[in-house]
Amino acid sequence: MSSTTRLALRLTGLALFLLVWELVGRHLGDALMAPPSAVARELVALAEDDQARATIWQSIAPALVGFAIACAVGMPLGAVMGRSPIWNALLHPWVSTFVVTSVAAIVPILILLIGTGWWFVVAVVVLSSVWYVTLTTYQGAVRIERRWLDVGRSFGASRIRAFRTIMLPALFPYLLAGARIGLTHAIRSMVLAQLFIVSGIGGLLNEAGMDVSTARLLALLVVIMGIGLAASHGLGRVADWLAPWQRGLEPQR
Amino acid sequence: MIRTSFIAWLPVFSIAAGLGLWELIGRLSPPVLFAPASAAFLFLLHQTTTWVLPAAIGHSLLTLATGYTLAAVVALPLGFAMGRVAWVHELLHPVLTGIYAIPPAAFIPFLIVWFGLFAQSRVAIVVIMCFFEMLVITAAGARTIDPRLVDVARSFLAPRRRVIGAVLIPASLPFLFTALRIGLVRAVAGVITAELLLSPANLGKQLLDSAGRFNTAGMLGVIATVAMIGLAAQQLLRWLERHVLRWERP
Repeated sequence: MSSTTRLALRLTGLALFLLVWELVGRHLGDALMAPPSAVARELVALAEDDQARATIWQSIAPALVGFAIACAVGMPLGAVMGRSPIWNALLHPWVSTFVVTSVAAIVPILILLIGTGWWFVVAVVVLSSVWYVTLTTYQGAVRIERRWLDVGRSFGASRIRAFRTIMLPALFPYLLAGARIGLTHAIRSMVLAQLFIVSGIGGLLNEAGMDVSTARLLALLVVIMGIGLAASHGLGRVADWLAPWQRGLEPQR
Repeated sequence: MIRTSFIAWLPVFSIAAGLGLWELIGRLSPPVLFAPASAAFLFLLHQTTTWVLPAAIGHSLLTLATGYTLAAVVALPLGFAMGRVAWVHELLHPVLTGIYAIPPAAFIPFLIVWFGLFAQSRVAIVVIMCFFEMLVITAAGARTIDPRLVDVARSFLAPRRRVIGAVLIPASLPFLFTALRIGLVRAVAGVITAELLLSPANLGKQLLDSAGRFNTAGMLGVIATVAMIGLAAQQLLRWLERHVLRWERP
């Protein structure tokens, strides 16, 4: 399939989706499903609304801080688990329990423990994404072969040098994959946490849900979609800049 | 020999130590903040003998099964078609990537408009939580089926139906199981999210009732129950996978 056909098909898919949505929207009315034309108008209104813009920006900040903490904790943890059977035996049961535990269940007790402030959202984000970062890094660290490290040792490389020139390049694709999965979960749990305490984006969503028209609600969903896509795109750009050699090496889940 | 058995016992030791730590922190902190493991266990025991907990779990699992089945029935064939047929992939890929980027929880206000606050809405959230996850994994898996396998069948002039039945389906089982496993874990998360954020029900209601009474033993007990359901769901699919995919075993 040539790239022009490919592009044409993609645009057709998008156009068909918008067309069906528009027709269904007109038929059902704004109260049930606002058509894209109404949503677009609402998007413009949202972009001109300084207060809404400020709220959205303020909501993203704790998600990014939480994501950074999750990476700072999860990546070393995963690497240690992958390289040391003892640490792995000690930590793996807990990590694999927490990764399947819905973070929503932990939310009520977190509210009790740390309240509903800024750090609450950070805590929810960390608790939801750190396990994915850890497990993906672990997958990479387990796959580092003994031979590669032995070569370094035979040439008298120091521990730090062996880490920097052998382990880090081998881990990099996995660190990137872990960061990407972690970021997805960070944004998901940010919305979840804010819906729970009705603040930030969650507050906006809740308020829009009370409207007679669903146009504003759908416009907010489009904004959140944009945040998600922009974040994962941005992460890819940062990775390309940090390690140009790894392009296309990212492992499939 | 001694070393390997030592490592084999470490996870057990780790779980015991973790529970011990939980007990210790719970004993040292005031009960309104954090309850010890034993208190959570006693709460669960009490709820089990009065049939409150088994009924809540049963109803939660019913929601789970309905939503998960609905999602899987659509997601697996659609994902398979996207992975094997190029034009289907190109047509659907941009739209589905966009919708997948929206956090499932953000749909809740919209789902309330459509389905209300009760059972239907809960099922809808479960569907949204696990549908895209299964779709993406199935599509990615179906794209990477070794083309040589299909070529062999074609060179023996196998009819299309036989290519699907004898080659494509067995080659797909590993990633189909991955999709089903990850989807099920997400579905469990979906049930809890729905039961907490819509009108409180079942396990979510237990959790919020405990929170309302500052009963941290109850909250931690329910969290532990949720964790166990998640683990059980994952192990069930792993076990099924090992039984069905005998040829994949090392």
